[in-house]
Amino acid sequence: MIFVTVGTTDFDQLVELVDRLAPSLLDRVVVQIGNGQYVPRNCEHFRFAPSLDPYYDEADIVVAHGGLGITMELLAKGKKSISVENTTYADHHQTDILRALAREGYLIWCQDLGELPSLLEHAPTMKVRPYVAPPCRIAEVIQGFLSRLG
Amino acid sequence: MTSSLNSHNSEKRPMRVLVVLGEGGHTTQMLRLVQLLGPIYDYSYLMPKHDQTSERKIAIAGRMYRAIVPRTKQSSPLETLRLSLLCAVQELRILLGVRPKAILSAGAGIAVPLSFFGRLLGVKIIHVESASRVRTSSLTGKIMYRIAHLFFVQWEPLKEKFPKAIYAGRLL
Repeated sequence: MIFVTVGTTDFDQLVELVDRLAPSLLDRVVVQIGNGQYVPRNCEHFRFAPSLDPYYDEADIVVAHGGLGITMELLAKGKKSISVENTTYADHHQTDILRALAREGYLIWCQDLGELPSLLEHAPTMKVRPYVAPPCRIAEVIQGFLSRLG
Repeated sequence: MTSSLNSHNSEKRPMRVLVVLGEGGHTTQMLRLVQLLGPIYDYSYLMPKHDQTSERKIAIAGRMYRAIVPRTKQSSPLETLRLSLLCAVQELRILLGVRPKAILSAGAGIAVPLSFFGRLLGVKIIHVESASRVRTSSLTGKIMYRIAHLFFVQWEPLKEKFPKAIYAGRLL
């Protein structure tokens, strides 16, 4: 199963493209469309769910909007994912992180929607590396700093 | 003797910390940090007025405050200015009400006026630049770098932009 998710955003370009591709894909496609306007006609879809975990678990590959929260969540789950950058944001703030993670081989980065059909076709054979977060000492540094204030 | 000393310590009121939540990624990171810090502080939370999802993700209880967020994309410059001033006034009021010892933020824009006022009032300002920033700095980050007492980056390459920043791993 291919699970497509846009979280709490609206990302009609992605949903519309997936809807157009769905009939030609061998896998079943399920799309979470969030706050988008476009309603798919060719694939299963829903707006929101209390938890997306069951869908992640069932999916062979997750196609997700390039937001930081979901991107890191999928890496933590060890799920193979195609992260689709939403280039409609004026500041292109997703580019920096997606480039870094894709360079390390943790995920498949779709910087342009035009690349999505070929990425979907090749994804089953593409390898991704498991992500291991570096040890985090931020809380300890803050606790130390605050304890010195008395 | 020891036990009476301990009980005296535990009765000491925990330090008040004001935590700034944003939307999506900012909230995720901030709440992860609160979880790591643990229930040893007295937390208050500030979040955008229209934010529907942050509140129910909070695991360590605290008072909730909300401030209006100027959405620059949809409104005219004059409207943005009006909303920015309104936001600043609301935040000053919250700050004077909570009187925190420290303000904690992770990249949400509403932290800027709050931290500015906080700095003037002697509050310690702690900023964690969002993990979405690997090599490029955000506008919020550039301003907070000047205001903050402690400034963290979550990717080492970003120290080129913020030389005095601390890299101590990532929250995600």
